[in-house]
Amino acid sequence: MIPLLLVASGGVAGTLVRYGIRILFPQDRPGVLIANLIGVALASALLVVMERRGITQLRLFLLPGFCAGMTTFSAVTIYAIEPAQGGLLYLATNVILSLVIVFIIIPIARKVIPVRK
Amino acid sequence: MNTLLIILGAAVGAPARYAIDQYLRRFTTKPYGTFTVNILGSFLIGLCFRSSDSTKDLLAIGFAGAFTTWSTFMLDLYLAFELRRYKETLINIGASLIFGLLAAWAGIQIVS
Repeated sequence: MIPLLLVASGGVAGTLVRYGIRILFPQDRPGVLIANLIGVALASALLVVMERRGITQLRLFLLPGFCAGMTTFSAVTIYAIEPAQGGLLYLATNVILSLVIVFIIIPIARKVIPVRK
Repeated sequence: MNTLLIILGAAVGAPARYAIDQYLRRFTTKPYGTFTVNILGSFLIGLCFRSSDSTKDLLAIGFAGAFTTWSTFMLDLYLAFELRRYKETLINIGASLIFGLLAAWAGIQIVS
């Protein structure tokens, strides 16, 4: 039960940050893109922390809670369809920039974050 | 009021995602949990396409936004690639995007 509550509270916090970023922009697409990219960067670093140091309550709040709640798949798919103009470019931008971030941050984090002895 | 609806949706969506993912992990090491929530959430957001603003706050931004995840999807792709499971990586990215788009499109068609 406690893991579910931690994920729920992290998910609410992440969702509110995504919503906050989104209302900074006049259109819907850029805010979701930026929330996704920041969330992917945070999640990449946290994944390495969890690999190296194990899963704690704070990390459950942060990774499947905050980061997964801050990022969203469903908004990407709907904005890729509606409006149709620029939709595929929007989808590709989300995928390519996110993969670039993951492929940069995880290897760096593995070098920087030591294994606890 | 809209912030409260978003909080309510996310408070249900995030643990629902986690519960489904943890359940499916009993049967497989492959990321079917993330795939399942992302496709279901895309369908739901399509269904909300013509809804009122408060329904969108609750179900699209709150629930579906927190129920689906982009960060876990990307981490799953990286981890499979790192293990040289290239075919699995391509199937995951291709199937997630194609079925996600189809699910959102189907949702829109139902309410249009």
